[in-house]
Amino acid sequence: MKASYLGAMGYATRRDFPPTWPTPPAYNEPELSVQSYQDGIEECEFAEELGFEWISFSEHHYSGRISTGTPSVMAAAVAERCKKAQMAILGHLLPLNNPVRIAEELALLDNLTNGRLVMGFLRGTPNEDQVYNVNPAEGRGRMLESMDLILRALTEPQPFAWEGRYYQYRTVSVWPRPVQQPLPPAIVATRSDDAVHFAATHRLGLGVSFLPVEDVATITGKYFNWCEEAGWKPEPDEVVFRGSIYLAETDEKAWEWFHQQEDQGRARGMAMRSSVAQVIQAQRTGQDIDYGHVFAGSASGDIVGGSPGLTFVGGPDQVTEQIKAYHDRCGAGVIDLFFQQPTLTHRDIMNEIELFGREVLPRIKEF
Amino acid sequence: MASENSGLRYTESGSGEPVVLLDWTPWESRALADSLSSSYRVLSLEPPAQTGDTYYVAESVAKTAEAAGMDAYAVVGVSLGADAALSLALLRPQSVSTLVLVSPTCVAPSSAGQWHTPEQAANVMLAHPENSEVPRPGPERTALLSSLAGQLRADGLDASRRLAELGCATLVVFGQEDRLVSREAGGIWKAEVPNCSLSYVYDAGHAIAVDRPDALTNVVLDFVERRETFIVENRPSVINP
Repeated sequence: MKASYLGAMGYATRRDFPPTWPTPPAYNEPELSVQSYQDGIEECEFAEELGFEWISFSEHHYSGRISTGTPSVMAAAVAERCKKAQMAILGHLLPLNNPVRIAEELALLDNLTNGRLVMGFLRGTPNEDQVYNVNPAEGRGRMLESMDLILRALTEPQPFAWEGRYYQYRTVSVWPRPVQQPLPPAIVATRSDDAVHFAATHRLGLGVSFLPVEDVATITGKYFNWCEEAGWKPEPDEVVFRGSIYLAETDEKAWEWFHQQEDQGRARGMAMRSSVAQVIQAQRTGQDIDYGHVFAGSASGDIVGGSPGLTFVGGPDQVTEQIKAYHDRCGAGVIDLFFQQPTLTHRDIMNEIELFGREVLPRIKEF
Repeated sequence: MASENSGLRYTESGSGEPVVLLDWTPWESRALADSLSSSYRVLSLEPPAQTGDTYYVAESVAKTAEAAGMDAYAVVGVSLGADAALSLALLRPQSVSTLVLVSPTCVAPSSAGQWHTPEQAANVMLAHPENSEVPRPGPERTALLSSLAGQLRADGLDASRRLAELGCATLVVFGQEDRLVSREAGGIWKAEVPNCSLSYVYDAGHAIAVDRPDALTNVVLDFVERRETFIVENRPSVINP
C-alpha cells in the first residue's frame, strides 16, 4: 500500500476562521499567506523524504482551510521541490471548469513532472456549485461529459470539434501531449453509481473520501464487479481512499486531543446554515424547495457541509490497523491523508509527518 | 418519386442552394431532411433497392441529381450514405461543393459491425441500446441496409484509399460511442483529407440522429452554411447588454 500526502496548504491561522463558507478575504494577511504556502510546501517535501509516494492536491475554493483553488498551479510549484513523488490532482472539480483547459493543464503538468502526474476527476461539494455559477442540477451531467471530453482531448492526435450537451468546441487540439501514454493514471473521485460505473467501464481508477470503511467497501465492491464485467482488474494504485488523520505517540494522547476538539466544537469542520445548503442540494436532486425561508449573502457567509469527522485517530498501532481495514476490506491501494487539522500548527504537522513516516508508513507498505 | 435515369427513389423539399442527402441508416428519419429544407433545396435519396458496388451507387446518385437539374451541390451522407457520398465526391469532384460525412464506415471499420436484424442494429449502433424507449428500426429497411452494407464493401472506387484526393470542404462527424469504427478513424480522416473538419457528438453512437438528433442537425447545418468558418463562434454571449 502507498501513502499520499494531501498538500492542503491551509492558512496558518485557519483556527480563527468563522465556521462559515466562503471565508472572507479580509482574513488573509499577505505576509502570513506567503508563509503558509511555504510551510505547506515544506510539509510536502518532508513527506516525500519520509517515503510518501504521492503528493495530492484538491480543488477547493474561497477558503483558507484548503487553499488550492487552482490545484494545477500548486502542483507545478511543489513538483519543482518534490522530484520523486507522483503529483496527484484529486481532483479537479469538473462541473466548474472548462474541460479543455483542464486537459491542457493536466498535459502540461505531466510534461513538467516528466510523467509523474495522476489525474483526478471530481464533482465537488454542494457549496462549490456557487463558485463559478453552475446550476447544481447540471453538475452530474457536466461531470460525465467533461470526463469524456478530457479523455478524448488527451488522446486524439488530430484537431477536432465537440458537440456536447453542456460543452461545444469547434477546435480542440491539446498541446503538449501527456508524457505518459496513452494516458496518465486517472482517478474518478465519487460515491455515485453513474460515475463509479463510468470509471469501471472506461478502465479508470476510483477514489472515495471520508466515509466509514463499510460504506467504502460497498462502493468499491460495485466498482470491482463492474470492472470484472468490463473485462479488467484494477491495479492497487487505482483504488484510493482519502481520510483525515490525527496521529500521536500513543492512543491516549491522540484521543485526548480529539475530545478536546469536540469539547471546543472544532471537530465539526464547517457548520451548517441549512437554508442555502438545502437549496443547492434540492436543486442537485430536482426536489422542490420553499424559497420563502431562504436567506443568503450575509457578511458571515453561507454555511455548508456537515462534519466529516476524522477517519484515523490514534497512536501508530491503532492508526495502522485503521488504515489496514481500508486496504483489506475496500481494496484501497493508496491512502491519501489530510493532516492539516484546523488547530494544528506547521510544527505540529511536521512532527506528525515524522511520526507517521517512522512508525506507520513502513508497516502499511507491507500490506 | 423515382428517377428514370437511376431508379433511385427520392423526395424533394425546400428551396435554395441544392443539397443531396443520403441518410442511409436502418432508422427512417426525416430530421435532417426537414431541417436542411428550411434553408436549402434538398434532394433526399432512398438507399438503392438493387445495388452494385460503391461506384455503381455513386453513379446512380449523380445521375439522379443531374436529372433534377442540380449541377453543383452539397452532399450530406449518413452511415452507408456517407460511404456513397465519399465515392460521389471522388467521382464527380466538379459537382460536389461541400461534403458532410456522418458516421462513415469505410475507414478503420471495427470488428463489431455485424448486424442483420433490428435488434442487432440497435445493439451496435446506439449509445444506449439498453434503453428500451429508443425506437428500433423497421425490419425491411434493416434488411435492405444490411444487404447494401455487404455490397458496398466491394468498394468499386477503393474510395477509402483516395482520401487525399478530396478537394472540397469536408466535415466528418462521429458519435463519441460509435462502435462500427475504431477509435482511430476520426484522426485518419482528419490527417488524410486536405480540407477536413472532424467533429465528435457526445453521448451518441453510430446512429447519431437517433441518439442526439438536435446536436447532429446543429453541426451539419452550421457546416453546410458556413463551411470551414463554422469553427468561428458567431452567437452572442452578452448577458446584460
